[in-house]
This record gives sequence, C-alpha cells and structure tokens, in this order.
Amino acid sequence: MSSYLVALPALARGLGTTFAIAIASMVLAVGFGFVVGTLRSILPRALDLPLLGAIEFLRGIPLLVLMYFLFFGLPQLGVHTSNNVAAIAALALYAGALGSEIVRGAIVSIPPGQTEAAAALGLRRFAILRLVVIPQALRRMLPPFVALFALIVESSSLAALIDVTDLLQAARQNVERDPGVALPVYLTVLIAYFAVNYPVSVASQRLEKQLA
Amino acid sequence: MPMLELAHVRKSFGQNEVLKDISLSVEPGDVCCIIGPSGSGKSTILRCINRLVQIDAGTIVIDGLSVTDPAVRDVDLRRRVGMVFQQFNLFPHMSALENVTLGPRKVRGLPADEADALGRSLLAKVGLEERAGARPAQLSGGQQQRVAIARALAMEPKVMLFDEATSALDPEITGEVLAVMKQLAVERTTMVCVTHEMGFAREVASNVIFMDAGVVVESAPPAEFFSAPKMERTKSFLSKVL
Repeated sequence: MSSYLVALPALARGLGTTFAIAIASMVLAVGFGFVVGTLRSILPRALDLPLLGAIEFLRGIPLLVLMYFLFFGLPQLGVHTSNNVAAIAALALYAGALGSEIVRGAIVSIPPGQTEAAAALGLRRFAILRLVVIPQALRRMLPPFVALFALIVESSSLAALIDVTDLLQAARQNVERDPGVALPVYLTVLIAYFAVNYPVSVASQRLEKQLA
Repeated sequence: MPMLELAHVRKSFGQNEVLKDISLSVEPGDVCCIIGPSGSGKSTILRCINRLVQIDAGTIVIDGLSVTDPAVRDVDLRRRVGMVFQQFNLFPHMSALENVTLGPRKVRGLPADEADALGRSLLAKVGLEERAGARPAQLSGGQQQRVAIARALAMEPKVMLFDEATSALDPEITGEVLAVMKQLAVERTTMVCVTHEMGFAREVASNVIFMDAGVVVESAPPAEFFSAPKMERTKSFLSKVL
C-alpha cells in the first residue's frame, strides 16, 4: 500500500505529460485539419489527388509504426527528434488526417444554394468560404473534433513505447521497481484515462444533439 | 437599348441540351415572365444571366456589359443582377438584417452604419422592419423570401431575377411575396420572373414567354398570350394550368 502511495506523484506528473502531449497534438491536428480539409474542399480534382493520397496513407498506417519511424528512423536522415516531439508529431499527423476529413466533410455538407446565393451577391470565392460556408460548417465540426480529442488522449498512451514519460510510462516505471503494485497502479491508470475521456465523449454527444 | 438581351444562347449539360438558341430582350422597367413545364430550361436561363452557369454559345448583355466577355469581372456583373431563389437560400447564421447588409458591406464596401440604414429601409419596404434581428429559422417561409428579396435589392441591381420565388411556399402565403414583387413592378424595376403564378404573369408582365424543351415557343404581351395563344403547344399547356 505504501509503495502505491509513493507512486502517485509520479502518476500525476505522467498524467500532466499525457495532457500536454494530447493538447499540443490536438492544436496541431486542428490546424492541419483546417488547412488540408479546406484546401481539399475547394481544389480541383487533379490538385486534390496528392492531398487525398497523403490522407489515405496516414489513415492506413498504424500510429505506433509512425511514431517509431519518426523517432528511430528520421535520425538516420539527420533529423533528430526528442521522444516528446516525435510523439506529438505522430499524433498530430494521425489526428490531423482525421481532422481534415472532419473539416472537408463539414464544408461540403453545406448546401450549394448557400454558395450560389453568396456568389449571386458578388462575393468572391474566398469571402464566400470565410463569411458564409465556414461559419456554418464550424457548428458541424465541433462534435467530431471534441470526439477526436478523446481519441488523441487514448492513443497518446502509445508514446510510452518511445519512452515518453506519460501516464502509462510512469506506471510502468513504478511497476518495474515494485511488481507488487501492478494491480492498483494499472487500475488507477485505467480509471484516469476513463475519467478524462468519458466527459469529453459525453460533451461531444451533447453538442451533437444541441447543434443538430 | 434593352436592359437585358440574350441572343442565340445555347447550353448543354453533358449530352443534354437544355437551352437551344434562346433569344429574348427586356426593356428597362419591363417585367418578363417565363413560364413552361419543369425541365424546360427556364431556371437555367436565369442562372446563365448572372454567370452561375456559363453558356456554351451566343451572347448575353446586361446594361451594356457582356456576360461572355472574360474581361468583365463576376463582381461587376453580379452587382447589376439581383437573384431570388426558390429555396430562399438565406444565410442561417445571420440575422435578417445581416443577410441584407452582407452584400452592401462586403461587395459594395458601404460603412456599417450606412449598410444598416439601407438594410432597415429595405426590410421596411418588404414589411419586415420589426424582424430585423430574427434568424431565418425564426421566420415563416413567406417572411424568409421577403428578406431574400430585400437582400437582392440591397445591391441596387439593374435587373432582378426571380427563380420560382413562390413555388416553395404554402398557397395561402404566396400572396405576401407576390405583393412585394408587384410593388417592384409598379416602381419600374426590370424583372425576369420564372413563375407558375399565371395570375401574376397576366397582371404584371410586360411580356410572357412560354418555354418548352429548351426553346422559346411563344412570346407575347399577357393580354394576347393568355387570350389568343398562337402555338398548339402553348394552348395545351395553358389549358392544363389555367
């Protein structure tokens, strides 16, 4: 029991790292998702193809393999990434690919009559997007983006495998020192992930109902 | 000189030729009503006039500006043409007033206070000044369409296009929209109306055009058009709708 209590501050620090990584990844993924998703919704098919290819590629590879590639592979090209940076970059690319689909889907779901009415007023393409389409699309993006954050928090536990001292890694280190605390420590970790993600996914569902 | 002139306009979507050599002209202050069965190309004509659709051949000239001249910018053309859609297409995230002032602010470059004053006067004109702050979802269909008319008028266009402006409305509220359109006609606004409202066409039109299968079958002033149509196709259409 006493060695379990000793582990708690380290777990708390690990949870802090998990949060920091998830938030940094989320910010980057939202930015990436907006740029790529918006471009994909307006580019002609030929110019969209490379983006489509990149998104399909990112969606078709395991996140852990991407993390290993960025952390172990890139240094051989002279690009040295710290554990945290590799973890954040991998999560941002992975979630950004999903985010770009959220953004593109929301934009193309706005009825074409909206764009036509704005065009008939003489607004230019960019102004139509900025003033008419995106404000309406934002409402539709919000619930899936909130759900995406829960996915990032969950997936960030893979960063433990490239030695990021997140919540899971903090737990592993303590259990290695004292295998006897494995049950209470891992139970704590399970509950901590759930305690973060459950309110987030409830919020996403509520938003969906409210904005529908 | 006509305010609007179409000459030998052709348009195909894939294999489907929807406009086959359309010519018509509208004098300033006139109201041109286009009637005909669905799929006859009526709405496409309106969409070609403000370049929402590019024509394949022929010419369209509005107030001296050629629609087919690539040197004429979309914005210069569209400032001269107001359009009212069957489905209203109001911007749901903006109030009625913001819908009306968007064009004046962002396209005409009016300062916010001038745009607001213009917007309020136009909402008053369509009988909706008290609903300036309402979102489209809080307005009835007839009110939404009247806001849409005010929005189009806010660009101070030379020509107003109405694309079946009352077709999406319940019969008992088409009247409030038609009343606004009649008022515009009385004020000598140049209008092209695609419509199924034969009463409106008979009362307001300077000229009625009957279209079928992408061609103008018959064109005449309403008195003549409705009482003595010349073409068999027109007669059979009128016998069904009147």
